[in-house]
Amino acid sequence: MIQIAGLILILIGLYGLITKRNIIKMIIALNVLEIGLNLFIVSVGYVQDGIAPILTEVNNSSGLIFVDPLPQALVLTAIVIGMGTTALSLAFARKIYATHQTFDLNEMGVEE
Amino acid sequence: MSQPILLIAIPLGLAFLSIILKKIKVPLLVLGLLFSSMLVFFIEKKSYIIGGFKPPFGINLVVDDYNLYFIIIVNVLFLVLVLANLSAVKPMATVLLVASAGLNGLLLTGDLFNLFVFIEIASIAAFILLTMDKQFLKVFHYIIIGTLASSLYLLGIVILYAQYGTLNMADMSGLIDGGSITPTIAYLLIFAGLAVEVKLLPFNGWVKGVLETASAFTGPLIGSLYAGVMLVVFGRVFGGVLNLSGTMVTSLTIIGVITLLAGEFMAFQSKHLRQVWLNSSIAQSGLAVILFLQGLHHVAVLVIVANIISKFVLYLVSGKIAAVIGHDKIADLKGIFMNKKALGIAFTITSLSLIGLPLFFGFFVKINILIALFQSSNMWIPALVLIAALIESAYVIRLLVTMWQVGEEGEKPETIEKPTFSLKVGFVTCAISIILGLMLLVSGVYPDLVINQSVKAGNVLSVNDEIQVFTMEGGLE
Repeated sequence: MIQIAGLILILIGLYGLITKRNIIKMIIALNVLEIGLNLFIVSVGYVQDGIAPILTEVNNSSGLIFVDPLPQALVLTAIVIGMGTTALSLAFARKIYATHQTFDLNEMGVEE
Repeated sequence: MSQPILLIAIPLGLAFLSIILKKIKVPLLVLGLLFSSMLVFFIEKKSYIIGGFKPPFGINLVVDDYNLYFIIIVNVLFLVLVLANLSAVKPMATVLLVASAGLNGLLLTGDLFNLFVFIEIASIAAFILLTMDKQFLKVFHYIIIGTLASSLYLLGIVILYAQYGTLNMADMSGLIDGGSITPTIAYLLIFAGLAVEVKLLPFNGWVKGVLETASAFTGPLIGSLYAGVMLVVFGRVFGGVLNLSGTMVTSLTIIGVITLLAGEFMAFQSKHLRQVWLNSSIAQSGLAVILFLQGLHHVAVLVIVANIISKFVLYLVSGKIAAVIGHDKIADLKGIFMNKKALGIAFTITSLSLIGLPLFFGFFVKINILIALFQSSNMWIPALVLIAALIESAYVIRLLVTMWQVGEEGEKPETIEKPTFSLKVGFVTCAISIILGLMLLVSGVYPDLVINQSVKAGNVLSVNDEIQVFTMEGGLE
């Protein structure tokens, strides 16, 4: 279920990137796509009835069912990278606005 | 014994330090790059464990015949490029250190997720470095398509992880070879992700915007070093890890062939110097991809080496010409080399090597491509590669004639006006171009060394038993 939700978010992000001509909206679409992707990655490591993969005094048996911790580590890294890219894109958006006085690609006369 | 992790850690550490010690950031940059350029000559070929966990549980760095020579070439050329543009790079010293760490990481890593992280580090550094050319909107397009591409790549490797339970390249390669199901969607996602960076059609819309206005610094950096490293990564993933076969090889090869032909056609039609080289880069990427997909890894390695060196000189000289003259329209550059013959000769040698004239390194690249393709595949791929080579020769020779010839065809010498502009290009640029041009000439006369190395490099991708045994051991160090 979460996997499907993740994939739907990825598709919504892609749709936004293809159809929107406003720079801020494009950045938001990219973020929606990244969130969908992160959700998908976490869902890959999900195990039914699994507990957090940390050995404690209570949970100290290797016979317990743990969720896969690796996708969680991957998502943490992906979130940080996504934040960096978003911050950089917003800095570019600001620079573009200063030059063109608009966020809309149509109004800038850009053909692409 | 030298640890290759230092090639990533030292530039990253110095990057942080350069934010605090702003006044000495340029010396820190030079120091970092100098250190990397020297360290590369002392690295041993083996798999290095990072953080005490043996692969496939931990991340490892791999130094083998495939990437060692690229690590040397990229680090040395990076240092040379920075030294040649020392005054221009001052505001970007920190970012350049990050870029150096990113490129080294891309070449060294033996882990698919780690590769994603380094793609992002190197890309973010590239986005910031490209702001030097003040083309914010064009770079913004690159950010969007680059981030989308790396997201697709990440999705691809996560699907592979879900299927095989590993992210280690060598381990994954073994599991894929032994598996029965081909994860087609994951392959396509990874291909689309990397295709943006290696400039394959239809994913290369960003290249034109970014490289046609590139300076003598950003041009060689993005058009030569970044492009070369990304092709090496493509080869590592599609030549060494993912086991493609049948229809998939055919369909992806078609994308490569279309990229090659379209790139050469666009270069033929280009009116500006840097436009010619960016389209030629696209074509060369297509060629390298075809060779990797056809399993001709050693020839692909030759193409990448030749492309890194020749495009480095061509972008450097073209960027300098554009900076001095104010434009790079070919029609207005008639006889430009008449006043700067040494630079012209270096440029000419590099261009002639690119089209594969005998005596130059490019000749052995081209002949090896054709021999390997004729021996391994059906006739249509080498035939199309030959057509592309013909188009390439046509526009390069036309370009050279324009840049050396002052008058029109058939015009009498006494009526020809001498060029009014003088090409004031610094000694360093001339020296670098001439040395690299001579390297192409010398390796053209004595190609054995380079060809032997490329065969060794290609064999690493075809048979990576050594690393396989090591990584399969697993467990703590």
